[in-house]
Amino acid sequence: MNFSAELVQLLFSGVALGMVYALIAFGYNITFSTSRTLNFSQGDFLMLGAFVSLSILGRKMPAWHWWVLAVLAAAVVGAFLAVILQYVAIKPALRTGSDVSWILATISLGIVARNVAERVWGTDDYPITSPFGRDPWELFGGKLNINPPEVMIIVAAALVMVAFELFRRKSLLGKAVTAVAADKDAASLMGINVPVVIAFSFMVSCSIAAMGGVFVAPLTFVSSTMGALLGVKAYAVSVIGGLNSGLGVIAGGLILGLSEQLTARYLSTGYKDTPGFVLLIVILLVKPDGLFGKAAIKKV
Amino acid sequence: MLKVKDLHVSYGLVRALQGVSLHVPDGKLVCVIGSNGAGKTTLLRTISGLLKAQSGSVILGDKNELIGQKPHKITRVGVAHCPEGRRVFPDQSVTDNLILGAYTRLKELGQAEVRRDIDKIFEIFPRLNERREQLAGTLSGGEQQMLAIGRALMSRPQVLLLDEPSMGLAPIIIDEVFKRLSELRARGITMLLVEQLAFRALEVADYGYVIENGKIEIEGTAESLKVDPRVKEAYLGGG
Amino acid sequence: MDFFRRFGVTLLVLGLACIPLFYHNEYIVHSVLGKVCIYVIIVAGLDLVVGYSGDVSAGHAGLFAVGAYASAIMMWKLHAPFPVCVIVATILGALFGVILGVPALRLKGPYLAVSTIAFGIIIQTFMNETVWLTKGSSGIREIPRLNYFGISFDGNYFLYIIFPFTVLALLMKHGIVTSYWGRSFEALKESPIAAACSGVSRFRFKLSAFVTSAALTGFAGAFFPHVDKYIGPPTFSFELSVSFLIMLIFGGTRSILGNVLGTLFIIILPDLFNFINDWRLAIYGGLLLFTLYFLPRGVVGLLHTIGDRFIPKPLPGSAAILAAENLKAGIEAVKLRPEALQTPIGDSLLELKELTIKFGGLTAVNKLDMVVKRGQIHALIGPNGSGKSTTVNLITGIYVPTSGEVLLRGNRITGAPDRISGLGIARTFQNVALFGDMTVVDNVMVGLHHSFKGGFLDIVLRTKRAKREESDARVRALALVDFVGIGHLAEERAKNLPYGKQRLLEIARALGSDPSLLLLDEPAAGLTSGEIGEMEAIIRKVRDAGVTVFLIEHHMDLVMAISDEITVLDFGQKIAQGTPAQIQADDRVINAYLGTSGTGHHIPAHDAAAGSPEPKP
Repeated sequence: MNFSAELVQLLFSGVALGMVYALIAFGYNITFSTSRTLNFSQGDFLMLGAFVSLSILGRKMPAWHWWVLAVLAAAVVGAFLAVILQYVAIKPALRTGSDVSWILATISLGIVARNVAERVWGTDDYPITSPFGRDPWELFGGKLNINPPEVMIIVAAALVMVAFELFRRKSLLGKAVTAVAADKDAASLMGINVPVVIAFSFMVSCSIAAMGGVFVAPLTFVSSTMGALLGVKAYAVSVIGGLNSGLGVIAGGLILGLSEQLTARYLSTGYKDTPGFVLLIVILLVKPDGLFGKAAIKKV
Repeated sequence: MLKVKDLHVSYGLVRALQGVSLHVPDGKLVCVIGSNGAGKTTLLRTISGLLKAQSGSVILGDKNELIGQKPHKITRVGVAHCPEGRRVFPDQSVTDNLILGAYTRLKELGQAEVRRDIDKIFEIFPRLNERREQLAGTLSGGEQQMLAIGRALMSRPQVLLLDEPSMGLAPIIIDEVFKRLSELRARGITMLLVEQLAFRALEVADYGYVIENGKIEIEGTAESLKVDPRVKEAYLGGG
Repeated sequence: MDFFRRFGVTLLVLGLACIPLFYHNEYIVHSVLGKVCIYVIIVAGLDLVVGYSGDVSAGHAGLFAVGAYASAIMMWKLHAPFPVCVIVATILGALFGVILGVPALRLKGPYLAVSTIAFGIIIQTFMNETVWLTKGSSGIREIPRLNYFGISFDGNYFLYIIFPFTVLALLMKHGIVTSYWGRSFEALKESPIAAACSGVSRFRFKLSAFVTSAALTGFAGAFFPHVDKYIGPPTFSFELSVSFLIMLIFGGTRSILGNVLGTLFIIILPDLFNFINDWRLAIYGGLLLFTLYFLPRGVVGLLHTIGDRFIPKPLPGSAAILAAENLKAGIEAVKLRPEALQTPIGDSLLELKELTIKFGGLTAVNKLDMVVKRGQIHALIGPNGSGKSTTVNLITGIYVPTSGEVLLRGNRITGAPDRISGLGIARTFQNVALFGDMTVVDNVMVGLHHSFKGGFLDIVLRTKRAKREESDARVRALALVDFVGIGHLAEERAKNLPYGKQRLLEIARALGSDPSLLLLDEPAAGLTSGEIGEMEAIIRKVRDAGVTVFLIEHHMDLVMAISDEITVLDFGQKIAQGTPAQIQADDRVINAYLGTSGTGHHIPAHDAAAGSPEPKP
């Protein structure tokens, strides 16, 4: 395998990783736009989604319909977790009127989730097989090897994001979500039940995270700690892309995914987590609204 | 059609309305005029449920008590509120804004009927038709105001509340907005208009109330208020 | 009262110090209590950021790691004496605090939280990867023994090394938070704009909170290698950062007792119940949720609530009594800066020249020319959205003009609000912006910010200078509170004041900076007619004390009654200027307010109203 083939493979892995980040970040943006809050335990919800798929699929290579079922089951569990999140963490915390409260509340919910998963499933790493199997696909007569789970991630993540964007633009409820994000008072004057729309946005967001767990599981193994770092990196992506921008997360995700792969390959695997966070801090300092976010004029 | 009785509202520690009563008869345009901070916006926001009242009642039709209901419920029973500062949804198209205006009725009326309503709105405000696919945030101030009014009409309200439609608009645009309001009045739409520009409002209204420091101080037919010297005093002080 | 409290605390401290002498369980005394002593320092430091500054840091484990590793590496590789290690660890902690704190200058809420988490992860990566320095994941075991004067301080006597420093650190924190530093932290938390307009530099004090907190954490970290004679990366995880937050919130923020109780409880919890170990994190998380839900002020808040029920409240502070003695100051409390007095009455004090600002396509203020004369009450009026508040925001440095300039006594002024405040321009806010959780007198003491010259050491060491500045400021603050007529409410929390009094308090706070010009943004908004009368009297009193007043107001009776000069804005442009009588008769003004075209309607003369019922309350 020559250098350029290796590079292509590397970039492909970076894109796959980036799409995972983008997908989770996409979920953050949905709730942040409607409620000005986001779930700091999203990574742990992703982990729970992965465990749901593990319970359904086991370790053998699953048939397609089982895999689709696992994705749907994870989505339902995610929506259910969203309800818990709202009633246990977000709503009580918002009464205190300070950002500190809801941030801490969602962080603590994540710790609880992780601990529960550890008690239920232990601290092992479980492999899970994608419906494509494990063997890499050889392209160009073996010159290029592509890892099937990576293809799956890219396709699935893109599908979910496109589906939600279509929903947001075409359906009445989707338009209502955009309206609530833009102006809650005006939305309620249209007859939109704002709290219900916000609850819905959390359900979508958490479902997306849980589905993300199913997508990523064949690459990373399933374990109680699999989500923590993914969740944090997705915040970084969210912030890099701009918390108020819709698809800026994809650009943010790709930047992070690629920079990690390149760092791991050409610098050291140990440092692969650093470039994203350094980038995050730099962007926050230089352009706090993100690369694609809009700055808002603050009224005094 | 809409009866407000002895409404008291405070937010935080500010007492914004101190016993406001007024009546909007069916098919009439009633205006509430007064200077900034007199409580005009508070009045409308309370009627449409965005603010909680301490006491008092707002009755729509015969006996539909609005106080205590959530804003989306109030829209459902037939009160449309065109808010101060227009508040169109900037990232959505003109058409989408209008569709959202029919949010409460889309299921009941069906797509086709809503399309027809949208066409009616375009008839009243032809400028919007030209810009139907444009994002609302890119419209001029006057166009946004038309859109906000059209959006409010889309719910087929029994009463339309209008909060300061002249705000931030150039005089020539204000002329046009008020021309549209008198057209709507001619179509028999019941309206409660809150406005700082007293004489503009009185020109299109049937009846007027002057509000000052959260209290109705003067009321009368539009004709009588136009020549009442106390109106000017309410704005620029007794001197 | 004060004496008894001090005596009690001293007794308690000495009592605790005796523990190693008669309780010999090495695990409890050395490991558990030693750790408690270290963590209390960190939690107290974290309190500066979370409790006082109102920011979330989920990266303190990283700072802790910096201190611990610095100390361990210096002892192991350089054989440096332990005290040197402590000093270096503290300095390094402070430096890293700058890295952590700089984002806090621009970010808030979730953004800042994410950046602190990222910081923690970066530090952890470096611990694992720089093997030549940190030995990577195997950790450092080469921690030397602690022997001084022939006594080993490695076992239970380790407490004698750390305990005094814990007490000192807590005293230091107490010193900081009860000084103008603490007030500045809180002011920036509660209303950054109001704090800046009172002269508090966001840059200096946000950063100070982070750096002080980080230095304390680095300092505490330096002692940590001696607890287990080992440090390794897993200890300094994100979970540890969260645990610090849980200790802080559970115990109760803004309280040293809370810091101690929270830390103690969370650390000994797993030792009290064995089964807890498996569920440790879940229980911590649940505890935090429970605390946020049921005990928003933590355990200490609960104790206070119980305490208030059984113990009669002490008299409202010695300050109030002190006040009664010194309040003859009266009007003299509003003192003018020397440079203000050089401008003769009637000369131009503030001048705006072609002042313009554009937001996107909208020109909010357009080529505004205006002169405010010293000693006058000058009003700026105009319909909604005509650019009045924007003008005040331009003068006070909250907005930067697109073009044009602001001159004070002929000199061009620019810069951030805290700088403008320092030049003698003070303001109030349309939507009252008080520091709600602080007392009335403390609010005014933030206004007196510029009178504090003492540095960090003055505060921590409680020097004579710091004490004198504090008591001088308190006397003056009380005099100002009395000047606006709310002296009897001096020890009340600002948020508990009736609305009208809050407006007056804002004026008192603004007067604290010795302004030559006071900007009032709708001082009568939301007031009852009685309160408006009170406000009118206060505004006149302020003017009589020599302060020039520039106000925006919608209550025309008030404006017409007190103004010497009125400027009218419409669409960001000046449409008229003159005396109240001139303004009331000006066609353009009437048109702007009432919307007549000037041709179509008869404009009734206001004097024709005689005999008809008076419309105003």
